[in-house]
Amino acid sequence: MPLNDSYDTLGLVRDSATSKTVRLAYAKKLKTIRPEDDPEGFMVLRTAYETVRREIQWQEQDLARNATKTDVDSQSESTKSQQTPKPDSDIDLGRAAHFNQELKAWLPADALGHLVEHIVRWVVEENASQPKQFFATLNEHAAFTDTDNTQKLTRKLSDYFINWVANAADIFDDYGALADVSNIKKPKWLTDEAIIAFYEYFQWFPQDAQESWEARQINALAALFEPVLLAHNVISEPLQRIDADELEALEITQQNQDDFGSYFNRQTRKWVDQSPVGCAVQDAQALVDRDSGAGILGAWEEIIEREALQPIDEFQSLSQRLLELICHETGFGNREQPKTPIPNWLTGPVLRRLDNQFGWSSQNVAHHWQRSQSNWFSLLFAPYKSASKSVDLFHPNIHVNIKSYAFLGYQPMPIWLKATTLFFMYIAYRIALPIVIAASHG
Amino acid sequence: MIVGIDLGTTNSLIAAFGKDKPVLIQNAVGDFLTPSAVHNNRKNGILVGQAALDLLTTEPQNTAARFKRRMGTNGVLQIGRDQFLPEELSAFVLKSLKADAEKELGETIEDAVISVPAYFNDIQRKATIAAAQIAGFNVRRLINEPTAAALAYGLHAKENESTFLVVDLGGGTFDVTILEMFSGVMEVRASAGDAFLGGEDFTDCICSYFLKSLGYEEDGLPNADHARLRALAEKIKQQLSSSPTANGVFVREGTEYPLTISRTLFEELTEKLTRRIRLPIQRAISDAQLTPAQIDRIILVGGATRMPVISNLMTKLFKRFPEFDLNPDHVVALGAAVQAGLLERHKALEEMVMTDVCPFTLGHDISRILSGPNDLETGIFAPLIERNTTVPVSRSHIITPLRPGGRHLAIDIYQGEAPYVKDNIKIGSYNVPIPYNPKECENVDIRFTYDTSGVLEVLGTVVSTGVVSKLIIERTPGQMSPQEIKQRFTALERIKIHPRDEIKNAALIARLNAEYENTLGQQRQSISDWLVTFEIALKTHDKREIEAARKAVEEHLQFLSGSNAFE
Repeated sequence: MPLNDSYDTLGLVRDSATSKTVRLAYAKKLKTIRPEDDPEGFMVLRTAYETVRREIQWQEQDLARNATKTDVDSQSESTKSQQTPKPDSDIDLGRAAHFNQELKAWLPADALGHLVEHIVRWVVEENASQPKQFFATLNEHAAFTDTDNTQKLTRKLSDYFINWVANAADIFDDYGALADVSNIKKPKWLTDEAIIAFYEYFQWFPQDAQESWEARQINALAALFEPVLLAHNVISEPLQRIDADELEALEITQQNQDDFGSYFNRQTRKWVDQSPVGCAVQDAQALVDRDSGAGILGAWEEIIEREALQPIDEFQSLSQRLLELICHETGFGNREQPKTPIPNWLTGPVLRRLDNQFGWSSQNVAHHWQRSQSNWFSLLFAPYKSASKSVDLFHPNIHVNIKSYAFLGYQPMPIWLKATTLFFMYIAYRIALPIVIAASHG
Repeated sequence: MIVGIDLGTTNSLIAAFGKDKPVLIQNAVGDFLTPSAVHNNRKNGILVGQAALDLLTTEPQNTAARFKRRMGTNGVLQIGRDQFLPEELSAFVLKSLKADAEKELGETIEDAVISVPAYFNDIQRKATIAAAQIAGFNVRRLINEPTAAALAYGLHAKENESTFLVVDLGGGTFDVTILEMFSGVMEVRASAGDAFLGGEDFTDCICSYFLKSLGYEEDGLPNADHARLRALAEKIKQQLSSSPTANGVFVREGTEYPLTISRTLFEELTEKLTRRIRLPIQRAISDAQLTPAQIDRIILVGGATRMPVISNLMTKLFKRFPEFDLNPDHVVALGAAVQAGLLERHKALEEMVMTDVCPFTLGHDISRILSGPNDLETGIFAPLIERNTTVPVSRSHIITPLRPGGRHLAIDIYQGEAPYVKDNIKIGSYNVPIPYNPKECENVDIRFTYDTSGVLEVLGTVVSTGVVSKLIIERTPGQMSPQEIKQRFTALERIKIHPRDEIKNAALIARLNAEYENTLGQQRQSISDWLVTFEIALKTHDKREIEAARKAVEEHLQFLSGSNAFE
């Protein structure tokens, strides 16, 4: 059902709806369209309600997620709707600026933009010739005369320009700024003279970075500039590098932190999950890697019966992650069916115990991906499953243990009173009697 | 007037919506709870309730209990000389409740709302309706037990908007339901459960443990003794709810065997059962797409939730305490009465609307092509209506025959959650006639429509021609036909039922007999004396004397057993 129709059915206006108003609207409509009296109308209303509710839920989740991001991002969100960036705001490249295709530069939409454009044109069109004179004349530019705070302006200019230089010099690869810049092809305007001029005017080094991508960018440029500056004796020692890895580890940890001290390990470049579920999954992975069948049932049981994994949240999360682990390790996604024989770390009793605990083979989930994983597990589990207690109404197979109910008074019919016995007795009577009579007469 | 009935595995109750709130109705012996037990005595007729339950220990061959578990199966039960279906036994219980209600309310009662476990499948629900019809009721609606509990709590609630998790552990069934209440709308979000898990299973655990510690095999005891041991196990289980250890004495063939069990040992013995409780809860929460933090209230319903094992488990799962303000035994009946009131459009309830969900996935079987055209995987379950969708609901999808050139497209309709149809329950089959086309496969659009009374309608439309054919699954095979029901109804009318006025006396005699079996020596002698005294008083046919004698004997019994074990 199209989204707008859903809003109309509920009588709501699209942008002003919150989860509370959606509920109230649904409740109001439900008073008149009752399910017993008007099933079709109710179905339409219900579909509308569910569609709208889902969308509002996502919107609210998005908002909540964005609210936890770092300051820069949230401020850049707020500047989205503004015409000019506030002078005090930090650099937000790309939000309030527009991208000039010709120069391939981000230009803010104010005097600063003109300034950046001016410099960029000088670099590109005049090949950054006579940088010293150019920078001397720069201070007479309109932007500098118009503003009160030249220091701040210089700072912002420097930030914009460094980004442009980094882009123009192409020091990036797919993951961010290169660590090793010795192999890049320097653009022709990046002469030694230009480099020295940039260095002296903009004072880019040493610098602090707020975010890891900034840090990497600065490091890359430092690597690029350093040999030139050292060669010309502009500087005597190598430029200071910023510890980008540290910043990155801090960012990731802050974003995903939980109560158990999970953190990002910069040496292995991996997230170290110290929550109970994370530890359990790691221990399970260790069992898989160990790949031996000795004591395997006890080992699995020890993992899944931990006290901290019993609450519902942890239980659900563990169920999902263990299922994913098992599917991944038995070839899910690469093959049609699991390879036989099953690996050592997954014996029949282990499968039964896991299924008993998490119910993977008997609980179809609505989500497509999880359902295919459940089906995969059922395929793995099928040979080890105890006989299924299916109910076929045409051939009922109800096994009642008569003995266990005997004490309640359910006794079987005495054998001589059973219908079959009586039937045979009657047949025998009908057959035997004439024979006996004939025999006695004859 | 419409009444609400809780037809439970262990106990049944009946209630009606009074002026502004639901009210329980007392039975002939003055209790709200009527044990679901039936005793067949050729001379005096059918006896239902506490008396029958006591007679279970003294005359087990003539008594039946816990037959709710067998509803929907073909198992015929033999009591004494007669055979009964579980539907008929339930009908006896319902009839007795009907008589109680008619006495209290002073009018003939015909319409009822009956509670069923949310996790009862189609067959079991139809059996419940059949039982009610045999008893002479017109079933207006079947209500799911956790929904009924939530209705009762909902009226009771102070805030206007909240999300409930109702955990209902009754005598024989376990249900979990998540409900949302806002602006007078009670909406069921998800439902799950286990139709074969209940308080009785916990009692069975204790009983097996006692058997083992006495040195007997599983069925080593004769029926009567086993019945008494089980009754003792039941008493001990209830004692464990209030004290960390419980003791009892089992009397057999003149010797007394003291038996004891501690709460920790009980928790160990029932570990497998408590594990089965967690899965449905988790599934209900994930189906409702909620997190445990979004659930405002956790409500425990059903007598078995009195066990500390259960409330501890809930606290462990949710890291907070559940609530059980209302009497867990009464809640479902009160809720059923609220639904009855809603159906009557009672003034006090005009603002409330309720929507429910279907607890099982409905779908049909399909085959999937694997690698080559002849490599098929058959028997796969293709769900069409997912579980926990709000009813009434209608869904459709298009299916193709495997090969062109057929004249029918045959599908079997199943209900269940397993990925392969052999593990699900078949509820019908359907043949869609398709036009003969040797070149292409004729696609068919299958539409399932499921309404609030649980009737599934299947519509098959051939895509190319637009011809529609319909199948309505109202009756599952193996279920009673209307003629059969009528037949049994008339048969029931003819069966002699113990006169209502004399039920109290019969109950007391049964109770005395049961206690007699359970005691030795001096106490036994006293009970025997009281029995004789009471029977003499009965013979006088003088109401007041009988009343006085009954009171005296009841007092003696109270003193003897300490507290009433079946309260």
